[in-house]
Amino acid sequence: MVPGNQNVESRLQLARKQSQALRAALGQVVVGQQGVVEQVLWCLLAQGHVLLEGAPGLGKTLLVRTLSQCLDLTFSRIQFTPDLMPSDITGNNMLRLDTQGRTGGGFELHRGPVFTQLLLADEINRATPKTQSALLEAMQERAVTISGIRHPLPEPFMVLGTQNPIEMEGTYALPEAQLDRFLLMVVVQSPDTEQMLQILERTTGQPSPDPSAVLSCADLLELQRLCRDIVVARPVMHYAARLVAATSPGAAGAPPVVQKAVQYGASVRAAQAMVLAAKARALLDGRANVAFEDVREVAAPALRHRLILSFEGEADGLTTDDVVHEVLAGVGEHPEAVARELRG
Amino acid sequence: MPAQTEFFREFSRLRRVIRRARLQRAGLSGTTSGLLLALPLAATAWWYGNDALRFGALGLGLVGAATFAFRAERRGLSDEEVALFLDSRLATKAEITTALSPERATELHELVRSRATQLLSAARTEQVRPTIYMRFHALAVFGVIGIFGLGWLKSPGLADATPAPPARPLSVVGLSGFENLTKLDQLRASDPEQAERLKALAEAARRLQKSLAQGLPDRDALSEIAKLRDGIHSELGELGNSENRAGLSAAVEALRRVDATKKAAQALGDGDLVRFDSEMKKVAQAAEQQDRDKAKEALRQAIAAAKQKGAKSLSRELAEQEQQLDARSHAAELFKQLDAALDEKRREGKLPESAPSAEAPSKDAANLGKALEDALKQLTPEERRRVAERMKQGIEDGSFDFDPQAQAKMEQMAEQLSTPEGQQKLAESLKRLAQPSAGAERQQGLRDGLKGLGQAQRELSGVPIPLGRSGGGLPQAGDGSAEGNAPRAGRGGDRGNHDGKTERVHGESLRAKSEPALDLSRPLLGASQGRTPARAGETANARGSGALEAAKAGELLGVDRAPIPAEYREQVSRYFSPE
Repeated sequence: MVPGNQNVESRLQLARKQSQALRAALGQVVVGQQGVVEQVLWCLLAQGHVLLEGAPGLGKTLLVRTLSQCLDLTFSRIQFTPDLMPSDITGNNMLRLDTQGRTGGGFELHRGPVFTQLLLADEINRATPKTQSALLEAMQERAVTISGIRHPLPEPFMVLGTQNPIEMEGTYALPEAQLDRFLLMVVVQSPDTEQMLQILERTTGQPSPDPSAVLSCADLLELQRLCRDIVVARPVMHYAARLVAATSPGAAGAPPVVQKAVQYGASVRAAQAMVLAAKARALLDGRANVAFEDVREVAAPALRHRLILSFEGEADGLTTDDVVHEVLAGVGEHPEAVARELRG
Repeated sequence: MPAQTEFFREFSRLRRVIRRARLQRAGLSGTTSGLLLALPLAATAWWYGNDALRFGALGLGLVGAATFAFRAERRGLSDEEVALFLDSRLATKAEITTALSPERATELHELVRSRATQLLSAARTEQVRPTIYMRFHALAVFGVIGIFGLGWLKSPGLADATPAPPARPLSVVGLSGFENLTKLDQLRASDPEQAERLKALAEAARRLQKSLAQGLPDRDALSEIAKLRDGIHSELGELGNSENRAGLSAAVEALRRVDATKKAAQALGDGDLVRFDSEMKKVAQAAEQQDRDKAKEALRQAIAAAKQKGAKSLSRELAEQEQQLDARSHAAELFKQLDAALDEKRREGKLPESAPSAEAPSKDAANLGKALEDALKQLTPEERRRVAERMKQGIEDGSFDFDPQAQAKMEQMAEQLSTPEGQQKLAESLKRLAQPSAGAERQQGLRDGLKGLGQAQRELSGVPIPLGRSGGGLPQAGDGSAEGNAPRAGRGGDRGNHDGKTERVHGESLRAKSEPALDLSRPLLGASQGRTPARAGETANARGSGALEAAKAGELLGVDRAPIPAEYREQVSRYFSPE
């Protein structure tokens, strides 16, 4: 082993141990939902934001709060409601009064809940589009502009939005531009009976002590830097690009279901999200390079919220997950020559 | 960089394994495809009984192997594709592909390459070797078995091949046409070589006659007849051969300038020496001495021209004609005198009006001697003496415008006429003069030979002879017996009166447009001679027969004088005289 490689190898081993410790700490509080936890960790390492979609009471908020505790990061929660104003999120300049209640002290910045490291935007689809868009700058630029002054957000910064797909009345569907800012969209499934039994045991007795932090902020930033260094071979990257391209109805090689059921395909940002999430997955697995299976695994959470179904697709009852499944089946990992050779 | 070098060494090793396996598989696939293609080809060859092609079809297997291997090499996998293949075969997480990617050398990249090297080193050849044998390749065995299996089966093409018809043995004695053939060696030849050839032809005819008497397959008999016919045609065309061709043209041109010899020139141009001889006899009997002199001069010029062009046999033939021209002229003059004496006797009433004239036989010069005897029998010795004196008187007073040599000849004839012995000698001399020239006699003999040959062939093979008057056939020229005045509608399709009472047509003044007389010396139209080999660009009628031979002299004469390129002239010459 080359000496330089030993250092990198140890860093990868350390990342693997840290991720395992983080999973274990989360697992002490959150029952089941390993897939959700895994995908949230991909987002965390890839410096992305995640949109959790699931029915109420499935532990979305618990997951985010536990994550903040395990990571020793600052945590804020915003409950989105129709009357929530943008300044309620970003904060604003307040007139400063002296002790006698007189003005003249100028304005004082009152930071909103967005100034945190982990932001839980609960039921994000209940706020008006105007308020929802207040998060756009924060999510993309990792900064907030108040009264013309740009205020950077702390690092690391991650938005975890949740939305309830059932109660559609009085909600405002997130615009495509904002959905695109979420690296992944994670679907939270209902727990099975066994998991529910464990939840009952843990939540109906004495409250458990809060989990201790297993990863410092510095450790997390180091992991995020290492994630960016993970190597991606050109054919793997090409595979991700072909997958994204195949979601566009007019693209060559798009499966028939895409031609039929998709109105608009995924953007370039989807390909970026797939590669970044794949890198995070490889890192969590202790590998220095991305494999084809990494791309395959991250395809569904990275693409499902970026596809817009056509009327025909919706009428047929198709979901974006169905489309992604077809795309994965239709687009091969290897060039035809290699595939033919492998078939023998 | 050692890690990099080691990686590429291991990678190259496995890449060679993959390449070899792919080439082997492509070769097998190509062989199989070739053999499967070869199978129907071999079956077709088997069906038609072509053994060489049947087993040669196996070569398609080799061709297929080479083609497929070449294509596999041309479409070989790139390094990236090989890496992907190895990743899949070794079930790795794309480490090999990533290690091969030309990225900047980060620590992580080096780590990946190091892991990839370990994977490649641990990989066994069997793990990464692509599939060589496919189910499809089993068909190659089927193809080979099929092709060799066809070798065991009897070819239907061979089995069904129509056997050659059995030769019909002939045993014929006394074929009527062979008399003329066996006399060919008695003809006067133009040179010793021709004499040898004529002798050989006569000998071949005798052999054939003998073989037929003993029994000979019909094919062989017809083949021998064809050979004889070719030989005779070759001799008949002697004037058109390369030696005489130029001389013939010059001689014909010389004779054509004089009116008296124009017909003779045409006959000579046609290569017809019999007709030429006949025309020259007519010239010798011309009424005017001036015409004879002109003809003699033209003949001399023709001889000179033929000699100049190197036409030896032609010049000999023409020289003989020149000698006979004088003698025939004298004989003609003698007949005139005899005719005058007979006229005088007829006027005196001593001879009936119906008595034959002495001039009449002159139209048929072949019977000159006999005619002279007949004429002299009608005269008394005294009258014969008077004719001789009259001839002498004419010579003395210059009534006959002969040259001195001719005058001496005439005086000799007059002397002979005055005595019975001389008369007998003169008659014999005139008989000799009536004989045709050597060339004419030879040509006539050869034609008779051909005629006999045709007769013999018909007797052997039963070639149908067209009947002159069957159905709507053409009437014979000049026989004045054309029957029926009803309209005729083509051959055998008469629409006229068929009650058997066709009225006579008075057609004495009419002439038939064609000469339907059957020339037995020439092959029938459309009859196959069958034996002459053909050559590309030339005529199968190599020796020349029928219409081609007849047209030969005229055509050659035409191109000789036409303003055409020499190459075309040579081509026409070769067409009519392939040898």
